[in-house]
Amino acid sequence: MEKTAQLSVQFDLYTTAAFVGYLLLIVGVGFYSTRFSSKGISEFFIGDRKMNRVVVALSAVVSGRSAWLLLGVTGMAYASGPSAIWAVAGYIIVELFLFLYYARRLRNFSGKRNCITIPDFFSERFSDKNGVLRTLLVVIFLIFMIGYVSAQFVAGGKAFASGFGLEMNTGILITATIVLLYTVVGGFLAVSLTDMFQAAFMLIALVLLPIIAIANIGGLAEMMQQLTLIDVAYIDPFAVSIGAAIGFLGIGLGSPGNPHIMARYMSIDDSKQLRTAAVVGTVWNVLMAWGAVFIGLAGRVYFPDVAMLPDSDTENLFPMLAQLQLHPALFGIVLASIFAAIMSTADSQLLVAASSVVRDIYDKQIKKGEEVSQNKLVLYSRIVVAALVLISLLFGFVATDLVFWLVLFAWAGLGASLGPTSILALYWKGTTRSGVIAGLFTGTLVTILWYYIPVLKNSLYELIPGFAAAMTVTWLVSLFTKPAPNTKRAFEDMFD
Amino acid sequence: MTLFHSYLMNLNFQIGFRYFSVLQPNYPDMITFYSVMFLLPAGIILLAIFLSKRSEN
Repeated sequence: MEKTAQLSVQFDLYTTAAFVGYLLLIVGVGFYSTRFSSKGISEFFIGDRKMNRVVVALSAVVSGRSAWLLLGVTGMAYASGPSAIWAVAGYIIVELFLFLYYARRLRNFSGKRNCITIPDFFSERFSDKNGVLRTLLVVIFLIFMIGYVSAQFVAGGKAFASGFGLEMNTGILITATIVLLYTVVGGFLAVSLTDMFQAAFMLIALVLLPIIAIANIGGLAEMMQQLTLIDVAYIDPFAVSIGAAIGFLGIGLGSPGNPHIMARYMSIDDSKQLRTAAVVGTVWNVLMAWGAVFIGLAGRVYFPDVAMLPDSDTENLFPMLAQLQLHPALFGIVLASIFAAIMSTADSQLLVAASSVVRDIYDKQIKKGEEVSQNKLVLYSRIVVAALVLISLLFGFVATDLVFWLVLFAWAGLGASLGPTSILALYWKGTTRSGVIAGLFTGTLVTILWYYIPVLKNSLYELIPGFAAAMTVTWLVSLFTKPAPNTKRAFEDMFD
Repeated sequence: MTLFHSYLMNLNFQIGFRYFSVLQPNYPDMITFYSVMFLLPAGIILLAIFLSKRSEN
């Protein structure tokens, strides 16, 4: 058997300059945002609810997309063809409906009740006077968010290791330091503005690369002809098993339960602007997702054998194809887009975890009924962000092989616990505090148990049964318990 | 692995395959590919525009 030539990523001055330029831009935005974010915790954690619709739209969608989209989906399309589209179609549709309906109620309610965090929302909605519901939410957030953030750092370390030839641990440290710098100083505004730039970088990479790559093959028809010669499955969008198809579409169920996405909805200046945000966010989601799949298809023509990719890893397709097709400066932007995806997710999750500690534990539980100065709260928020980066780093160093598993697991755990309970809290007056607590436990437990039972795990993505079980249990327990006395008023506050 | 699980995993649920193979023996065909790769994303964007114009609380 003929030995297949294996390529590796090469760098030059243009590539490095474009990449370093990107990093400087991101850190610069962080420092620019410092003044605004220092006024109080409302400013630090949700931008004082003054965020523009385009910023919210892009920030919400980009913080929901990790390196999974750029490396995972491109690799998936390379490995299995256009059937990878079902892995992205689910979350795009779900997020469209979230922007239009769910987000609007959440924004109206949180604005009228001065909710800064998601536990704030639940606490207000269910009159959680003893703080049990709030504390439970914080525990769930911290477990999943720290796992999630460390997974992003590990992904950054991997990208640095394969891209720049650095030690993986050095790469993890560099990624964490950059995220730490602009998140600590700039808070939510920095995170949202950098998300916007990161969305632009990702868009350039995922739209430009497939167009150029397909044009260089000789056009779409030529690409399809060549794909057919390799295997007809590479042009068959339905070449997927039923379990995989349902699992793919079910990925979207994670969106309503991820607090870093929900916090974006709470930050918009006017809930009516969410209509425009829905269109902007959906267009970006669609372009990114389909771009990723086209990259995978074109990549199969350029690299017919997976052994041609570094380490025979399909997730290396994206940088390899970019290097082959683009000018070194554009290649630098492509590399930056990978880090953009990683950092835009990590920074948002860090803020959510920090807000849980400072607002929900310190301000609302330890200092309950006392007046704590905003300056002090912002200072504590910055310290907690730094501490969480350290904890995530430690966690990341011992979980290096599990990065994409962690992302999917965290996505599923949060989606299954918080998704159904928040939907019912916003749409069903009969939902009770006990029902939500039962639903949170059920969603988390079913997700974890399902994952650890191989027969179940291999048949269906754990988010789907976790979501369904949490929804059912929340509903059943609510039927037998009493809703909060202020439910009618709470629902009035959800409307304009 | 249970029998049912095995069945599901091996079923290769090719909805398009079964549908279009009746109409066009040369499936996988271009119509399915272009529909999913171009009409579906366009449809999602149009749905977003349509719903954003009429969305209420």
